[in-house]
Amino acid sequence: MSEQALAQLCGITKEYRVRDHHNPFRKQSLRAVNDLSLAVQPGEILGLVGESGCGKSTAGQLLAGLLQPTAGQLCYRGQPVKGFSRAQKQAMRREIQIILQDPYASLNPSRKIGWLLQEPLKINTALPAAQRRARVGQMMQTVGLDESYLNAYPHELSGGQRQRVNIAAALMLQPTLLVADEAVSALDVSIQSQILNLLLQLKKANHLTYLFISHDLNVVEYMSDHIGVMYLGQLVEYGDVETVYRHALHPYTQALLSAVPTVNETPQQHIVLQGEVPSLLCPPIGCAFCTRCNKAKPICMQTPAPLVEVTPGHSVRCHFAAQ
Amino acid sequence: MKNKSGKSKNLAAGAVLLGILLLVLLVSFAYLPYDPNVMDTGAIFQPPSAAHLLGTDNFGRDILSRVMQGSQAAFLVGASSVGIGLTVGLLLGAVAGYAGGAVDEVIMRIIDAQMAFPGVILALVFITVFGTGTLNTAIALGITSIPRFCRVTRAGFLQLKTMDYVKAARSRGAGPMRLMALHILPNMVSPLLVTMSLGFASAILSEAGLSYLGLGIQPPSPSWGMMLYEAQAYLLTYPWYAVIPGCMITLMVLGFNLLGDGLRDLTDAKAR
Repeated sequence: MSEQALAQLCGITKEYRVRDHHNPFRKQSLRAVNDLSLAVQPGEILGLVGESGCGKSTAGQLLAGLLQPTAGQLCYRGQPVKGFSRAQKQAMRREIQIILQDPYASLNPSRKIGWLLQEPLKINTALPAAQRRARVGQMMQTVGLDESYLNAYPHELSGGQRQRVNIAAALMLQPTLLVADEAVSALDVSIQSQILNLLLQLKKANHLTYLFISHDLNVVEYMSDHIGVMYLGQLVEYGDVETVYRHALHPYTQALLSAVPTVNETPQQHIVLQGEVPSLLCPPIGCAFCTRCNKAKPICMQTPAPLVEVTPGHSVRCHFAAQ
Repeated sequence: MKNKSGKSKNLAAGAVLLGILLLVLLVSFAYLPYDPNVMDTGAIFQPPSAAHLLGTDNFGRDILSRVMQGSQAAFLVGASSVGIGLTVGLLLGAVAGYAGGAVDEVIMRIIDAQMAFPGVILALVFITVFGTGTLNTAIALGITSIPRFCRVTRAGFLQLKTMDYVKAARSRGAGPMRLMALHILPNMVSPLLVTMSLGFASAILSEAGLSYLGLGIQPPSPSWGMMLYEAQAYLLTYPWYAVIPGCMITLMVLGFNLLGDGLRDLTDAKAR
C-alpha cells in the first residue's frame, strides 16, 4: 500500500446491544463487525464478499457514515475523521455516497423522481432551481433514463430503472467514493449486467472509487481490483483479485470459491461446509471459522488466528496460511 | 372481488352521509327556517307538519332549525378536538418514534398514564376545572384524543425510520427535521386520515354525552346532545323530539366510522 488510501477503516468494531432472551434484565453485545481494518485505494474497486450476516453491509454503512463505530477509527484521505471540523465532515459525507441493496425500498414512494434527484442539491448546494433541473436532466441522461420519468413516482418504474435512479441520486453530489451495498443483488441477471456496466462506465468517466459489496463471487471477480472476504464480522482474507481467486489460502475462501457455479467441462471438487454460521452472540473462542473448517486443529479452537500478510498485499487470517 | 366491492361501498356510504351532513351545515349558515332560539308558547310539541317539518319542542322552538344549528356545534367541536389531538399527538409521536430510547420511553409512559383515565372522565375533570362552553369542550375532547394520535404516529415513525429511503436521504445529507417532515410523514398520511375520521366520530359522540350531562355546550345555543337531554322527559309522549337529534348523532358517527373503515381498507388494499 504505497499510495495513500482514500478511505480507511482502522480496527473498526461495531457492537449492538441486544436483549438476552434468557434474562430480560441483561443485555448482550452483538459484535457485527470485529476489529476490521480495510483500506480503499483511490481509483480502485474494492470488493467485499461474505455470506449474509457477516458484517459486510455494516462495514459499508460505517464507511458511508450511516453508522457510528463502537471502537476504532475511520480515516479519510489519511486524516482521522474524529478530528474533522463540521465543515470537513459535511464535505466527506458529500464525497462518500451509498447505493443501497433493495431498489424497491430505497426510493421514497411518495416523491417523484425529479424531486428525489434534486434533493441532494437542495440540501447541499445553493443552486437555483433552473440549474438544479439542468443538472438532474444531465444525470438522467448519464444513467440512461428518459427525462419523461422525472414526473413519475417510483412505483411506476421497474427494478432496473429504480436502481438507475438510485445511482443517479448518489452521483448528484459528484462523490469520489461510492459504496455499492449489494447494488445488483435484487435485480434480474440481464439487468444486473446492464447496471454493472453502467457502474464501470461511470467509474471511468468520473474517476470514482467503489466499495463493492456483494455475495456474488462472479460479480465481484468481474468488478473488483482487490477483494476482502469477511466471515463473522472479521476480514479473513484480503488481496488482489488474481491472487485471491487463484491462490486462496483461507479455507473459507476456498470453500466459497469451490461453490461458484462454472461452465467448465470438468466439474470442480466442491468443498461442502458443515454446520451453520455460529451466532454472533457467542462466537467461537478461537478462530471464528474453526467450527466449520475442514482443516481445523486443536490450536484453532483455542487461539484466535491473526491476520497475517503472507505475501505482499495478500493477508490471511488462518494459523496455517503460511504452510 | 366481493370483498373489494364491499370496501368501496363503505367508503362511498360514509362519503355520501357526510356529504349530506356537510350540506346541512353549509345551509345552516345561510338559511334557517326559524330562529332556533325563539320560543313560541302557542305552538309547543307540534308534530311534524308543513309549517314545522320536524315539529317543535317544549318551548315551541323549531326542531329542524335547532338541529341544523346544532350541526355547527358538532362540526366545530369535532374539527377542533381532532385538530388539537392531531397537532399535539403528531408532534409527541414523531419525536418519540424518531428519537427512540429514553425520549420514547418518557413520552409514551406519560401517554400511557393519560390512557389509563377513561376519556370522558378526563374531559369532565377538565370542564369542572376550567368551566363549560364550546371552546372548553373542544379543548377537553382534544386532550383526550391525544394518545390515539400519538400512538399511531409513533408506530408509523418507528416502522418508517428504518426504511432504506430514509437511510439514503440521510447519506445525502438530510437532517432529522427534513427526514421526518419530507420522507417519513408523507408515507403515513393514510393511517392518520383513518385516525382522524374515527377521532371525529368519537369526539361528536363524547360532545353529545357531555352536553347530555349539561357540561358541554350551554343553552340556549343548540347541540344535539343537549336536545336529547331535554327531550328525554317527553320520550313516550312526543317521541320525534328525542328521535331527531338522536338520528343526527347516529348518522354523523356512522358516516365518519364508515369513512374511516373505508379509508383503512383502501390503503390496506394498496399495501398488498
